[in-house]
Amino acid sequence: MSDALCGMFAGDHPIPLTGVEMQAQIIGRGARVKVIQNFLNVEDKAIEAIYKFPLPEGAAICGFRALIDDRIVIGEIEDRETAFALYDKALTKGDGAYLLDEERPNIFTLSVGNLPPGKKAAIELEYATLIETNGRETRFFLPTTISPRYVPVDMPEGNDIPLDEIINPPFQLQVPYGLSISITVHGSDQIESIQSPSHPVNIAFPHGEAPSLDRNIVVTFAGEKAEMDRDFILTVLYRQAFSNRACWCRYQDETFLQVDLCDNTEDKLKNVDETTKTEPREIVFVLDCSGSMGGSSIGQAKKAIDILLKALPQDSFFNIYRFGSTFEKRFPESVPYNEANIKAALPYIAAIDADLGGTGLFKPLKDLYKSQPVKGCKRHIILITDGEIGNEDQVMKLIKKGLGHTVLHTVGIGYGSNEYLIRQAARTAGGTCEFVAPGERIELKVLRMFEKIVSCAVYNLQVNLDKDIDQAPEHPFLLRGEALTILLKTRVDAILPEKLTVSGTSDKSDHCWNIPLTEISGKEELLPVLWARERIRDLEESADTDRGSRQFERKEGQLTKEIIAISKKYGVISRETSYVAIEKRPSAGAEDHEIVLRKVPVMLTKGWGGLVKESVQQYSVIQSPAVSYSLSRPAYFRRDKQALPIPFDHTTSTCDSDDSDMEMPSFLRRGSLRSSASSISGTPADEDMLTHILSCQWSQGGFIWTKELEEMIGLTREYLRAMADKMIVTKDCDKYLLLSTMLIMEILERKFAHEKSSWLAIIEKSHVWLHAELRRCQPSIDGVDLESWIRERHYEVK
Amino acid sequence: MEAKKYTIEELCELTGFSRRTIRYYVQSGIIDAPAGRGRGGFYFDSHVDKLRQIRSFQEQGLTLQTIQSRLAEDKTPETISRQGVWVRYDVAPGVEIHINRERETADGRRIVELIRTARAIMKEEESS
Repeated sequence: MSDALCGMFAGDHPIPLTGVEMQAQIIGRGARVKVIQNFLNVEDKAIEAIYKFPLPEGAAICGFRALIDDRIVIGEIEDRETAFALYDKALTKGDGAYLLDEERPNIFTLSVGNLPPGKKAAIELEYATLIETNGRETRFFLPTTISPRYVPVDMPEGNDIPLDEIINPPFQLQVPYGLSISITVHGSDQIESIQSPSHPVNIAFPHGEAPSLDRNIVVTFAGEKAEMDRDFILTVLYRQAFSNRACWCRYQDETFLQVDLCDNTEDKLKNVDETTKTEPREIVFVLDCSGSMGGSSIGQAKKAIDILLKALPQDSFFNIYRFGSTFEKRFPESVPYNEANIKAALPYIAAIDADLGGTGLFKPLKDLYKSQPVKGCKRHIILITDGEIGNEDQVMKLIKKGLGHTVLHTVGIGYGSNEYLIRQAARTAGGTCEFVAPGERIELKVLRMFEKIVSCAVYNLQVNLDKDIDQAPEHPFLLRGEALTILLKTRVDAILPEKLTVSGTSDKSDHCWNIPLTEISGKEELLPVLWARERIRDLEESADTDRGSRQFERKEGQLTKEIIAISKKYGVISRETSYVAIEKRPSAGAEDHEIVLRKVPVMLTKGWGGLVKESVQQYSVIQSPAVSYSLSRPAYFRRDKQALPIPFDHTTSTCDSDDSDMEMPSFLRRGSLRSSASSISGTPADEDMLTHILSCQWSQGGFIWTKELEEMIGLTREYLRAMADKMIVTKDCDKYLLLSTMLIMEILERKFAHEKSSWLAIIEKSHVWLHAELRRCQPSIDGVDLESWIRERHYEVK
Repeated sequence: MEAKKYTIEELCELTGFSRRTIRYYVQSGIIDAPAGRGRGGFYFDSHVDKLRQIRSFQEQGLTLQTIQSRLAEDKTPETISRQGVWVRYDVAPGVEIHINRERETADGRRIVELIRTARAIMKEEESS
């Protein structure tokens, strides 16, 4: 096979990027990351290499430098056009120059200018970021490629350069460069397990040391390098959930504070729920059916909608949209939640396929936002998509119009979904978001969202301090179970209290947190950087709100100036600024320099557009066992008589090495890598069982015993009927439904306690129904009340 | 008469396009490369005319792709009559200067100076 076919070449010239390295330090909810991109010019003329690449949208990029031979050239931040002029002039003179532009918060363009024949250049970027946190789990994320973004043909061109050209690099099925990683996770004694659902990894303690607070864990790829065709994800499960905390530091002539609100589950927001749970809702599912959702994504998304639909409260209204290049909806407008409408909706969901072309997200949302929600309801949109669009600004502007009556929640699906769109849309619309990588289950994530959707948010969170406070984000909100970080800047001589007070309001009540404030020692420079990133984001979003209006022109100038000033002062890149590094060369200006342009192609996202659908499945099962590494076993894993060793001195952890888990009955195994791989091959796993159980809910409340449940649980419907016949009740009722519902509740409580956050909100309707029926009919079997009778029988699964 | 030569800075001033955009148009073949080897080459009136045509098409709402095909159809911009053609310069938001094309051709350097000064004045006002 020729090199061109192997992906070594882009067109008729070699690809100058030879590899990418990522080094990260993870400490709890924060990470500091260095990305190194290595270039080599093997051609016989000087080149200008242009490489478009992704980074997490929340990354505060605070360092940029180029290493050429033994020289290090440090980048400076300038406003975008000045940076380009400096870069361009340097190239004109024959100097070397390196430029980093932000095209989107998660898409960047690197220009490596005037790389002479035979020369190498290593470009280093550094960023700090906060890691997504859910309860005890953090999810570190690094995108590796840009998926082709759909730009609608009727999209107005706001700039002189077409949008497509700005955000879409050239794509190839193969590229010669790959990614290597080295991640240090600090505080090993706090960690219960580490796993990567995206890549096979090695997880090691240096020198076989025992876990402890000051010992670190090092994560690398199982192979030397990985293909850059999907997001890298590392989830770290800590022994305890993160608690609320507040810290401060003085840096140069200012004081910075960070407030983490992590502990807002269970009772913390309970009062809010009780007052608002009766508020009726209009729920609209919007499902991406573009080609890029092909494969297992669409099936799981359908299953999630099926379960949620059955779980909706009785007083809800609902509708279902599906979109690709075009869109359609099941009902012309949202319909009341009743048996007839559900019967009409379920076959529609079942027939959905990923067959609608491009990701034309704007039109269905526009259709939704042009109408008001059903009277007396708040509208919640649940958008399930890979988000591969280029017109994010257009979508955000639309979403902002619905603030106050419509909340948008998003689920990002696939090997490389558009993180910026998924997060920003939810953030803008007061909603929540989840990401689902292949190998992870969409259903469980969507179910986890449901609890947040039916709970109430606390808005307008403010840290109460004296004047001269600059808070970012300016107007944060908090959903049940989510973690939120607020950053603040104040005067250097500000007098700080021992405890910080954070207050916020929900629809019907006020909320207040008192958090002890401590001083940070070490890493002080990170707080200003994180604050600057959040502040810049606030300013950029505020600019987007009014874009196009007459007032905007005036305001834009001010906002741009403010963004540039913050960006330059704190060294954090923004859309208005770029990093530029100039390498003066002694030979510059001696001759006319001809430099040829080389655009670096990126690898097409795995599974994109269903192009490599078959190989995805094969890879998941055979080559890419997701890796789970337990540092100790949670209680529900342990068996009474067998103490399991803590495998802290292993250097490699794969599915096979974690064999203690295999000894568990399949029912008791928690669905991690293994079950997700097996679910692809069709073997029923725990998660399959859980999602199937939840899909058996009847819309009026109660659970129906299906043929599949017979097989999974090992109890036939005939047996259940016989037991139901034995049941004695004081009032007329559906004894069979009562028995099957009681059984399901018991199974959920006993076997899926660790997934409770996923199913608790889903079964609420049946829970309420069941307890009302138990009180009303007083059911008993063999003289024992039904609840005790079921507990005593200890039904086991096969 | 010797053809007028413009540096990229002057071309930006004259047309209102950013340096980045002009480099992009050159790289993608929308306008011709400057004369001479490399980036330091000079631009001519034909570049100025082509860029103004592009701007005019953009104001009509055409996409760059359409503009590119229109430009390909009309390879002889010199045939456009210069009489009665007015050139618009953006000075600041809400401020423009219009100059007759013939006058501009005859008095290019001073016009560039005029626009530059006007922009400097407006910038001072904004920042004060």
